[in-house]
This record gives sequence, C-alpha cells and structure tokens, in this order.
Amino acid sequence: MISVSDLCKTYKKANATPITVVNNVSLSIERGEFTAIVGPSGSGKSTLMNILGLLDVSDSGSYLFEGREVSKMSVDELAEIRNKKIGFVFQQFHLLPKISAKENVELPLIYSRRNDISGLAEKALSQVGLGDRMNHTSAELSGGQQQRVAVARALVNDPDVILADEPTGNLDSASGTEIMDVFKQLHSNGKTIILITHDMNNASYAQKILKIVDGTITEQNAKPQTLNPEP
Amino acid sequence: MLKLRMIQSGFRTAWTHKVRAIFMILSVMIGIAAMTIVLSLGKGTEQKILSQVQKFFSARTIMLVSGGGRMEPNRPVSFAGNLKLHDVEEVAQQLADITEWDAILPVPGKEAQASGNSTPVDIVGHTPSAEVVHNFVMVQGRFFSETENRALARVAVITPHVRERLFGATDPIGQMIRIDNVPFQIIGLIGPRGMDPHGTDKDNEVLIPLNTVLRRVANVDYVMLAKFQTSNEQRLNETAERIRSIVRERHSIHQNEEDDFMIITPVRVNELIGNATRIFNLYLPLVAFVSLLVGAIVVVNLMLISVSERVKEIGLRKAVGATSRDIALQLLIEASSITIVSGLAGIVVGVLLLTQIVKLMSLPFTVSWSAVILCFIISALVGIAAGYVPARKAAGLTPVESLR
Repeated sequence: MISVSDLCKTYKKANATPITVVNNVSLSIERGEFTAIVGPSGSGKSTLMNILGLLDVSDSGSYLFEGREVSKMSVDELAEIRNKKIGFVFQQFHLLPKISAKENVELPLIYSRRNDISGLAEKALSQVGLGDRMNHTSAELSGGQQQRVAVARALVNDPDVILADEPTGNLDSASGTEIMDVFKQLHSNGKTIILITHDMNNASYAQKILKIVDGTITEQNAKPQTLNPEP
Repeated sequence: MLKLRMIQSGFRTAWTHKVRAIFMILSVMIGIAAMTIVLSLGKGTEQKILSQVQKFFSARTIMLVSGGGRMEPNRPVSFAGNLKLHDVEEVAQQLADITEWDAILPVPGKEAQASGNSTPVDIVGHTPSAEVVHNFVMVQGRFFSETENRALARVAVITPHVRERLFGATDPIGQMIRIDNVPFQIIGLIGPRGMDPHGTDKDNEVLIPLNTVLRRVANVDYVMLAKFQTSNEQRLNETAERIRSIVRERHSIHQNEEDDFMIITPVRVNELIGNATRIFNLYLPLVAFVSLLVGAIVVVNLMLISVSERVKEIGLRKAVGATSRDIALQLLIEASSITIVSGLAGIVVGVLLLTQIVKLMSLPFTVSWSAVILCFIISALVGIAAGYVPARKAAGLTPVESLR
C-alpha cells in the first residue's frame, strides 16, 4: 500500500545550517496493517507523517502510494487522495470551533466528489460513540470527545489509511485509552493505521513498531498481535 | 453537487463570525444606501425641474431674449432695451415655420387698486396670441383680442392671487382695476400657473395688451423677450439660426461682434438643467462612491484578517482534500454572500430613507432603478474583490505550513 525508499527532507533556514529532518528513510506498510512510528520529539516523525499523509513533499527518494509515484502527482491529485484515501487525526484535534460536531465531520464530504453524502457524518459519529452529541460545538465537548469527533472526521469518507499524529498527546490517560480503543476497533474492521507517538504504551497497540531517531529508522520491530494489552 | 455543498459551507462560515459579518455588512450597506439615495434624489430633482420647465418651454419653443451674455440659473436676465417689437414682428413674418408668437414686456412692482383694496402686482404686456403660445387656461371671461391690442384698449386679464387680494369672492369680470391711476376693465381670469423657473410668482400678474403697455404704461418701444412656436421640431436649430441672423442684421451687428440678444432653444434649456442637477448627478454620487470604496476596503481588510486568523482552518480544509481552487472559491462565496446581503440591505435602507427625504424636500418619489442595479453590481464586485485578494493569499499556503 505504502512503499517508501531513501526518503530525505531537509529544512533550510536563512543564516542557519540546513537540518535534515528525514534522512534516507525506507519503509513499507501493507494494507490492513497497524503501524506505530515512535521516537523522541524532534526525531522527524511528524515530518515523516506529513510526507506519508501527502501534506508535505520530500526532497528526494521515492514514495509509492498504491503503486503510484507521489512526486509525479499534481497538487490537485494529492488533494483528491487525501480526501478519498487518507484520514487524519491530529494532536491538536484541529476542529473548527464555531460549528457543530456533525458539521466538522462533514468537512471532508464538502470537498468529496461523491454525490450521496447524506447520513455519512451521523454514521461516523455513531461509530465513535458520539451519536448523541452531533449538534454540540467543540466548546461543549470534552477533550476526549473532541478527539473522537476528529476520528469520525477521519473516517467519514471511508479512507484506506488513517494517519494519527500523537492523537492522545493532549488527553488524559482515560480519554487516551478510549481513543486507542477506537483505533484498535478500526484496525479490526480492516483499516490501515499509522500511529505516530512517543508513548510506548500506545505503540504496543500496533502490529509493527518503527523507531525513528534523528530522522533515521533505527529499528523495524514486527511484533505479534497478541502482545497488545487488553483494555 | 460539489459546488452546491461549497456554497452552503461558504454561507455557513460567513455567518459563524457574526460581529465581523455585521461590520462588513454595515460598511458596504452605508455606501450602497448613500448611492441609492443620492442617485434617486438626482433623478427626482431633475424630474421636478423638467416638469416645471416644461410648463413654460415645450420642445417646439424658441425664445428670443433681449440682452446678450450667458444666462445662469436663478439670475434675472438684464435686458438692454434694444429688442424692438418690430424685430420680433419681422422674424415672425420672414420665417414660415413660426406658427404663433408672443412678445412680452413685464413691468414689475406696480400698485393695483380696485374696490377699495390695493396690492402690488407685476404688469405683463402680451400679444393676443399669448393665450395659445402659453396655453393659458381661461377660468372666467376671455383673453384680449387683436383689435383691442391695436386700439390700445385698457383691458386686463387677471390671475388668481390678484383676484383674491382685490376682489375676494366677488365676480371680478367687468370690474375696474386702477394701475398708476389708469383704469383698466377686467375681461378675463386665467388659472394658476405657479412659480416660473426664476421664482417669479406668475399668479400675481396683470396681463395687458402689449401695445397698451408700451404706450400707456411703460412708454417704451422695446420688449424683453419673445416666444416663438414653430411647426417643425426637426428644423428647430435651423430656425433658431435664422432668427439669429435676422436680428443680427436688424441690429447691424458686425461679424466679429457678439449678439446683443440671446436665443434659447430646448437643447440650451436642457443644458442649463444639466448644470443645475450636476451636483446631484455627478458630485454627490462621487462622494457616495468614495464611501462605498471605503466600505469595500474595510471588507477586503476584514477578509484578509479573517484569512490570517483562519490559516489553521484553511490548512485543515486542505488536509481533508480541499484544493486551492476550492478554498479560493469558498472565500469568494463567503465575501460575496456578505456583500450581496449588504447590497440588498443598503438598497432597502436607502429606499426607506428616500421615502422620508422626498417628503421633506417635496420632490416626486422616484427610485433610480438603474442606480439600484448599479449598486447591486458594485456590491457583488466588491465581494469578488474582497474574496479574491485573501483567496490568492490562502491558496498559496501548503497544508503543512498552515497547520503548524
């Protein structure tokens, strides 16, 4: 599904030495896999996720998404893939504050080329256990609930891949566990999940853990599903 | 389908920031309301002046006025006393296009006495054909005849105010009126005519045969002006030119000398009206337009601020699949939905205020619909401009930059 080789990303700032944030990364992720990318802050894992999520482009290397070379796609094609095939969950939720949970979940649908979108937002919200909170604005929801709205937004277009960047980073441990359970559920429903985290506890939900240090993957540790802690 | 969803979403987000939306609406609304009011008032004023002037000046009328120079609105024409009755008679005789004519000599500020009452009046000498030339409406009695004019008869036609002040409710026909101790017999009463464009009360006149005025009242041989009715509207300018050359020749004016008289055609009258209404049709709309421009700048500015505030939102929208075009279109819809609402509100407020203003100014209520349409187009254009500038800024951001 995702195949990356020799990926590099360097940030150049004026009057400063260029920083290579992602350095010769190669990895591959199969359809239906639950992968965790772990590393300390500043290790380049968020940049890697932005590249994997087509939010950013690499300077060199090759990235095949479903067998197609990403660097050869136009920005509009990238937008379409983000819309149809990728769902994002961010550490800061990134919900729009003034509109309801349902309207937030509907955002990807606004830009989707699909014609029949009625009921999809409701279905996604029910899936994350917020069927009774659809008309609440983010201010009226707890952090955990807000992140579940964000997960529902990631799900609404039925994407193949869900990319989550520190989804529990702003949550207390109970809410964090709730969110991780949602991901576990999604994985068992067949979604490909890529989780970026510095928390080994969260990483242990995954089938495969990639450790990243200073922009380089140091360890690819495939581990059996049975090691997942029970909720 | 996609476009419809974007339009809905654009509307939705435009109204989620209520305070900002209200300020944007106010800023454009005021400008549009001002434009609507000013342009409509201009049209109303012009209509009022035109309808006033048309009472005195039809499309087939040429006026020949004694004294040269340029006529300015609201300034009495000084007259030199060199336009003789014979000049007018000669013109009328030579030009076949002239069907009716009247030569006029006003003698203002005379005292009239009758049945123990006295009132200041304006004496005006007219030829008998004045009844036709000016469309006088005889309320009572008759107008004077050519025979009476030739015989210097002491007969008078009075007007409503004179009748009221001297005779009250009693029948004036057949009564005597004394002017400078000369008695005149009243033979007719004409209907009200109101003010002329110079502000003279036409209903305070005593009309007397021209020859009688020349010999018995003023003792002069000149008139102040003549009014010609022509049979051919198409040849009006030609006729006016011929009048000019006849009078110039009779006055022995050299080629490089200016006229000592003035010819007024409907074209010239419209020019004068245009000058008078220019303040409404040009200068005030300019001021209103500046206020609209300021409103537009406010909207563009607020939209720019809105984009800076919403970089994260735009980043998120891009992350979930919005293209730069989608974002630009959405901002455009947001801005134009606001300015179009402002435009409509401005038109409504403008028209409502207009109904009150025309009452105060006793103008006819006219809405200049072309102005309203213009305002609507301007407000839509402001919206497009207000959306376009920030849209370009927003579209250039990459999702990862905006989300950071």
